[in-house]
Amino acid sequence: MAQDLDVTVLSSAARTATTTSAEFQWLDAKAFMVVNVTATVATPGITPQVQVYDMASGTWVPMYVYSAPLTPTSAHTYLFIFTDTAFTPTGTYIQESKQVYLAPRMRVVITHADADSITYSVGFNRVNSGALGS
Amino acid sequence: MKYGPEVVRSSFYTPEFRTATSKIQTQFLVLANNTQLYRPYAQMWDKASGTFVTVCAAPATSAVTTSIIFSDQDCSFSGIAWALLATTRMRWRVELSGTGAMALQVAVFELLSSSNIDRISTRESGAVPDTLPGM
Repeated sequence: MAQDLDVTVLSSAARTATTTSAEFQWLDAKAFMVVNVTATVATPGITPQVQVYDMASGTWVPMYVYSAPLTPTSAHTYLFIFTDTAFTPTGTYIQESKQVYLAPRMRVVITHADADSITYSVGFNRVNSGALGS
Repeated sequence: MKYGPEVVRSSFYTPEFRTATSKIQTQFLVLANNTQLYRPYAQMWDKASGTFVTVCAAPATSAVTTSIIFSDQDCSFSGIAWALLATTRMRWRVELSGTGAMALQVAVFELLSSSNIDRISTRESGAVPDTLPGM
């Protein structure tokens, strides 16, 4: 089975505190995560985190945490590649390409550094690959 | 996906295209040129924001035919090779920075890769299917 749809993890909205998405299903070995910031007030900082569900403990476990807060001062799109095979992407548009293993049950946590408002969405988008999990 | 040939004088977007292979090639075929320069930007569709976002740009402007490959691994190619994941729904933003006009065609096509070698191997082993894949 492979992923057949892109996923809106968080719809666009103005937020002032740490936000946890609903659980979503993902069936591919790779993904493009897009954090699309469209507005900011003052100096917000957000740190994206992806968590996987551990059935044994019944808890959510961090699988990926970006190394430092993103601090946009205006509209900005952040692109993250998650891939089971490491490579260095061409160009300067990719915020980070990280070799990780994705899981069927995941959610995203956006940790806010302060209460400054920031408007953003988070999407998981499919990529073409020979290792889509099918 | 094929756009053109068109005589272009200002920046434009190609129609979106959908591909399924991990390696795709785009040819920007310059048929005629009068002091025009172009620079392609690859864009992917992001469902959450409902917008196309730029994932990579050609390193510089060009006045001549150029080919760009998306590949999920390093490869040697006479044109521009990008180590980058293609997504299922993309388009090109072509920025023009010259003063004249250019007759340009943009063609996108899928490339064979390890993801479909098994099908080719099946054919070469003699077990030729009645219908070739994708036909």
